[in-house]
Formats: sequence, C-alpha cells, structure tokens
Amino acid sequence: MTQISLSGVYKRYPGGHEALANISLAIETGELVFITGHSGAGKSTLLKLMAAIERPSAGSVIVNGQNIGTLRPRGIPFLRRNFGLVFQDHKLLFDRSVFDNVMLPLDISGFDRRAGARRARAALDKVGLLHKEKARPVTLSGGEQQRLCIARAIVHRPAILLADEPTGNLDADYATAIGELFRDFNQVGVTVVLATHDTQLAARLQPRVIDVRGGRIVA
Amino acid sequence: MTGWLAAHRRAFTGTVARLAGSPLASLFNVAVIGTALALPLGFYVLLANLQGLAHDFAPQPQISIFLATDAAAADARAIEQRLKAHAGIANFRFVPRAQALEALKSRTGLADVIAGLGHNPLPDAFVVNAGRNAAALEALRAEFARWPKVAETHVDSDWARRLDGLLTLGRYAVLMLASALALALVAITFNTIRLQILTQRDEIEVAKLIGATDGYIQRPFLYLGSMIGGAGGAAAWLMVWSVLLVFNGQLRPLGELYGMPLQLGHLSVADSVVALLFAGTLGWFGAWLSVRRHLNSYNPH
Repeated sequence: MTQISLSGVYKRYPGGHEALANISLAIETGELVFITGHSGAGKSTLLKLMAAIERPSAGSVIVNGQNIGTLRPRGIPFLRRNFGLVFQDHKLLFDRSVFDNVMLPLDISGFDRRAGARRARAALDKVGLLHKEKARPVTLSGGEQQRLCIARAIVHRPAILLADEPTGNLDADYATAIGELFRDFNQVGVTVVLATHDTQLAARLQPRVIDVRGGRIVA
Repeated sequence: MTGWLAAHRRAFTGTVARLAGSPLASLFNVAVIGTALALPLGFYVLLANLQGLAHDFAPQPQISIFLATDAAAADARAIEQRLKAHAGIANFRFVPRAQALEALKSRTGLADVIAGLGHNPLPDAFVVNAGRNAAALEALRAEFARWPKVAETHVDSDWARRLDGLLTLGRYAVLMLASALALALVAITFNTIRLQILTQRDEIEVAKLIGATDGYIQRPFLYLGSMIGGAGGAAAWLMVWSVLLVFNGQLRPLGELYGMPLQLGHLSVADSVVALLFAGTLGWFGAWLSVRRHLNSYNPH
C-alpha cells in the first residue's frame, strides 16, 4: 500500500529560490528509503513536505490518503501523530529531564500517564539511555542526544519514521548503532525514510535509495 | 473526558508551578494589575457610599400646588379628590390659606404688616410627596399645572437633581476609568504572555512538530492570563480594603463630633465576586489575543 506519494511537487521559497522541482515518488508501507544527495540538494525540504512542516508550492503530497497541500491547520496535529520525527538539530527541551522529553509526545496525545511512563522507559531502554532518565539533556553527549531524539520519535509507536541526517555528526561506532536501530524499527513494520549522505550506512542497510541533486530526483 | 480533565489539570498545575517558580516577577505583575484596578474599584466604592449617604440624609423632594386666589372651597375639594385618586402619589397635605397666613405671621414676625393688608394674599395650597425620581416629579408637576384653578406649581427638587447629576457624572467617570484600565490590564497580560511565549519558543515549536493541537499549546497560557488577572483583581480588592480600614479609623472621631456614625462600607460580596471574575476574564482575553497572534507563525506555509 502506498503510504506517501508526491506527484509534480515544486517548492519555491519567497525570494525565488527553488528548492524542489517536479518531484514524483511513492513510498510503500514498511519500506526503508534513503534520500541521498549533497547538502542543499533538497533532502530536508522533501522530509518537511512529507511531515506537513511546509506546504508544496505546486503539486500534491499525499500521506495516508490525506493531501497536505489542502489539509486544514486543525488537521495537521493529527496527521503529525502518524510520524516519528528525528531532527538534525535534535530539538530537545533542555528545561526538563530525559524522561520528560520522551513523555512529551504521549502527553500531547492525551496518553494515560502511568501507561505512558512504561512506554517511555521502554523507548529509552531501546536506545540504551534508561540509566540516564533523570539526567538533563545538556549533560548528554552528541550521540546520546541523537538517541534521545530517536526515543522521543518512537515512543508513541508511529507508522512512519522520518529522520534528517541522524548520523550527521557522529563517529562511526555511533553511526553503526543508530543504523541498526532504524533497521530494527523497519523490521517490525515501520516505514523509515532517512535523509543522509552517509554512504557507508547505505551500503550496510541496503535500502531503496532516492538520489536528489539540485532539487530534482536523479536516481 | 478523563483525558481532557487530566490535560486541564496538568496545564493548571504546570502554570501554578511556573508562577511559583518566578515569584518576584509574578508578584510585580500582579501588583501592577492590582494598582490599575484599585483605582476604578476605589472610586466605585466611594460613589456607592456617597449615594447611600445622600439617601439617608437628604429630605424628600416635594411638589407644591398653589391654587388661584379666587378658587372656592369646592375647587379645593375637587383637587383633593383628584389627588386621592392619583396612582403616582405617595401622600399629600392640604394647607388652607388661613393656616398659611397664621404660619407666616408666627414664623416671620410680619404680623403688623399682614394686619395692615386687610385681606389674606395667600392662596390655598397642596404639598405632595411622590418619591425621589426627578423626571417623574417633573412630569407630575406639569400634569398638576394643567388642572383647573391651579395658579402655580413648584418642585423643590433642584438639589436632588443636582445630586443625581453629580452621581451620574461620577458613575460615567468610573465607567470610563474602568474601561481605560481594563484596556491596560489586557495590554499588560498580552505583553506578559508574549514574553512567556518567547521564553517557551522551543517548547512550542517542538510540541507543534510532534502533533500538539493549538488547544494543548494555548491552555497553559490562557490559565496564566486568567490567574494573573484574577490575582490582580484580588490585589486591587485588598488595596481598597486596606485604604478603607485606614479611612474609617480617621472618620470615627469626626463622626462622633457630628453625633452620627460615619463609616465607609466595602464592596458587597456580589460586587467583589463580579470584580474578581471581570479581572480574570480580562486576563484570559489578553492571553488569548497574545496566543492567537503568536501561534499563527508556527503553521506551515
């Protein structure tokens, strides 16, 4: 079943910069997809369109049968709950503990707090951070922050995991571990879309690769 | 439903914790709003007291009806009958011309002059009590003036109208002052919430990205606005109360000199509740405006 489909998508920013031009692609449920290309090629923009963080200038983006271009603002929060988002800059909240960061998506969707706490600990355990649940994110290393961001992205068991450069600034060991994590999620049926220029990771996981150059798909 | 309640409880306790977390800033905010609200509230209390005093100490206004000097006793009786039958009159008194002359003689010491006149120059008269409403009294007076054999009518309600006018003016002044300061309260909460939104920018952005509804994000800010407004209202109430306390202490010896109890009353319970609710609502409104305005920037474009 097609979960995400883009057809004839353009994205222009005010000022005339064209980030994406005539993009058409379809991602099936349960696929593992890498979007590769140089920085500035349009990988991040592509992910932002899928998660309804930005709207296309032209063309249609359809996620789970919903057209993002015409989706009303009220509908966006509920669409977003289908996603787990891993950000390049983590976007962690530094005024609360590691545990509370992971609880946030469950709080937002009105999840029962006690059942939520069990899920949050399970997610932290999955990324190997359970022993740091009371710590503040600022005390974590770069790799740990990245893993915390992943724990927060998976805690509400999303159908789709979108990750922007998840291994960006990590040394090889961490990158390998995080790659394994994504493969695990994919193996239990989660659709995983990664934007990355980490070719080693691609070589190991053997995903479907969509290569973007200058805002267009080249392969 | 329980989820909704739990979300509200969490937003509420979170807001209280946030207020308690920066006690000095919260206190100053509340003090500013309290001072702004104390002014119209104090004025209102003063006005209510003045109105009460005016009612207690002022004599009732009366309408005097003077008959023509050629009116016969039968004419006077006819008017008496009409007054008895009139629905708008509380009570009335007939003053025959002879009695009026006697009163004039004994009261003014003009007995010699009056004796020299040879006849009674005074007309028969009625004195009518018909409540305090100046407009109604004036309407009655005009009606009486049209009756046969009535030479002149007169309402001694000038002072009542002047007082009424002054009190009305006072009420308008309170209303305008209250409106101006209500606007100030909305502006203060608007700004407070704006700053709070700016300091929680990251949190709002992340929450929106991972699927928070606008309601979820607004809720703590709306609570914060209502709490600041309500606390400001309570502060204003306390300020007025303490001013009254000091004032009444000074008024007591003064009242003893005049032989009457002079004390200013505070707001009634109903008025106090209305004032608190009003302040809370204004705070909520300021917060709502602020949140509306600033959350829009997080929607996709």
